[in-house]
Amino acid sequence: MAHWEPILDEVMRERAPRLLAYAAMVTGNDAEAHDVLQEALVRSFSKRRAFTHVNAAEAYVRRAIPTVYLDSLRKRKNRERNHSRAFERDETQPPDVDAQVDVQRALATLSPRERACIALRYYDDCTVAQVAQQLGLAEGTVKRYLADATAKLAATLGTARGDIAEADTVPVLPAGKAGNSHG
Amino acid sequence: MADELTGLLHRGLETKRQTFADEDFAGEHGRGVTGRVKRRRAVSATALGGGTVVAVGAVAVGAWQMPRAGLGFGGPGGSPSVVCTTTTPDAVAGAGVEVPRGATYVVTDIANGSAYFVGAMNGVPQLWGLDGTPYELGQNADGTGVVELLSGAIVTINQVTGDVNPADPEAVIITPADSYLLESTSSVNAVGADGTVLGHALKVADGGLVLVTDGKMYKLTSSEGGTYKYVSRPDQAVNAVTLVDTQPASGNSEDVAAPEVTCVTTTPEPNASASPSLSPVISAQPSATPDPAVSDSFGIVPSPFQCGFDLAGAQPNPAAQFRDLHWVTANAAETSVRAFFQDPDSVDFNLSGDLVPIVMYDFGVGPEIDGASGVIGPQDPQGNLAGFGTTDGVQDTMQFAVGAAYVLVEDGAVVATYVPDGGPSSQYIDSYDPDTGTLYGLNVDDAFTPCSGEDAASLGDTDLYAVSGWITEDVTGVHGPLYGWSKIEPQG
Repeated sequence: MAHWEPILDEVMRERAPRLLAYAAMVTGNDAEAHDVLQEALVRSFSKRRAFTHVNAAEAYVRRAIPTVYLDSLRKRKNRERNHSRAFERDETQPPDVDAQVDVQRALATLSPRERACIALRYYDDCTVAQVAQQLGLAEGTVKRYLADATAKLAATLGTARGDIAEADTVPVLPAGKAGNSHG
Repeated sequence: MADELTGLLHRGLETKRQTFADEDFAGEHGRGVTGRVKRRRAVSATALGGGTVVAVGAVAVGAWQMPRAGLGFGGPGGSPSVVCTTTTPDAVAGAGVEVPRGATYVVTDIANGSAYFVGAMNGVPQLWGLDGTPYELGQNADGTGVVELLSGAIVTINQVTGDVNPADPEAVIITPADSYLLESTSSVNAVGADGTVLGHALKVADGGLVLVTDGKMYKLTSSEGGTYKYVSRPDQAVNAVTLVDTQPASGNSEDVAAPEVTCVTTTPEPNASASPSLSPVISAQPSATPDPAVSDSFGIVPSPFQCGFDLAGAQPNPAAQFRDLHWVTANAAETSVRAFFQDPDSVDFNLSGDLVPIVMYDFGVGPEIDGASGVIGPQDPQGNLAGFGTTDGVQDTMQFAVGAAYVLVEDGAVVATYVPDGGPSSQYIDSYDPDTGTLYGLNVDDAFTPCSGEDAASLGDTDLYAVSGWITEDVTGVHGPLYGWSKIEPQG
């Protein structure tokens, strides 16, 4: 058995629920979470990368999930003739019926890219620059997604806007709209 | 507050995690995921090395591209038929070969027999195929060249002296270029148990003997009764040969070069024994197995292109075996595909995936034939059987059907086949959407159709194989189909 197989096996046996939950958060869909996790596992272990511990492997796979998800959307968009409809369908996909948790419902209101940015920024604690690099987006674009997303989440969850006005961000929403977020 | 959102996400995730806690993800998907990883690692291991490493096979692209206008896919640059130049009159390496200027050694990859000239010119390391084709070679920071052979063996080349330094001396055979030419045009033939001349035998630098056949070299070791044996790859079959000095008394070089074999054989046969197997059978005579030339039906011969074919119980025919098999980057493939189109800007390239496959092999071309026409593509050549055997021996130029594709193999049997959608250059392309002008690169995950009819994700721990086959027809009749296959070995 190759050296990577025991680690992969352990990740799938022991860490799958947490990774699936993360994938569901990013995709907003349980079924898609399974597909995305499989692809993220394949992608993470296919390179000549030597994971020495299951924790490192899990972290790597988790970080791959948003990228895999967005890549799958791009492919879907390319392959489907009616691009706009396909994309629209995905963005408006309702949350899974089992996902009654508020945060899940709130995340489901976000676009795929917004969800990916939120997950990396606020769950994985990545900087904006790291999110941009991970997703292959410009930093400015990431900031815009984060700003839009946190505004939506604030409206749904009643949280603050995620305090996105950090040192490395710029306000991109009208001041009035941002000011309503506490409301 | 950011902390508030972070806390919500973590709590939400934990709640969600509990909903997945009872799932057996590993049981449901583990086999498929592991199999996909193995296939991808196999692919990566074939062509990826250090930054300055160049996969030797990369240059073989041209030869496989050469007949692509005849693929029958109707690409913008295509023509209705192909006129192929023939191979050298003697398929045995050496005949007609000139040592490239600057070449110092021939490096042979023991794992698969592939061989290359190496050397140096003007302070630049050089690499050539045995046919003299120069290949682009990467250089290290210190100027030395680095070649990653198909087996993964690494060889460095001194940019000034052309000296060769293999990372693993056991993995390669180093032969002085001059003696390669000298010896390979000499008169010592390696003859199989059935009397068939398999190739030339020559001495190498360490005093040992190698068999040179079809551009490959195999180490010969002494056996009983004055015979020699070698191990053919990738099937590991042990083959026995006898060395025969055929130096013609007349000194007529044509007598030496004239091949005794027309590389015609029967179908792949089960090979339960380790008996000599590299035996292209001279067969103007009907063979013991059903002769497709006289058959009215299609697909009577089991082939590695077909679901369920038992590779473990059969033997690839060396006459249909790959000379080269490698993968190129999507960018390299795109460059090549673009060259195919008269108006490349009209095509939206979407060659997804890190690598796309290239295969190359020589198919049997009789020495008297100077031209040929036919079809080449990813299909089983048996699909063209109906077009053969209709000329009653008056075919004065050879026609052929050649196929090369990929299959997935589990427990020795084909469990998934490669069914490309077609397109102008299917050696690269998984599918081509003429409406949008989009090309999709082959993806080892979704390019295959499982024989079971299930989803591709259901495939488990499979091996990736390249398969090949050909049928030819000339004045002596229909020959083939012959089939060969090679496993892409997983590494890492």
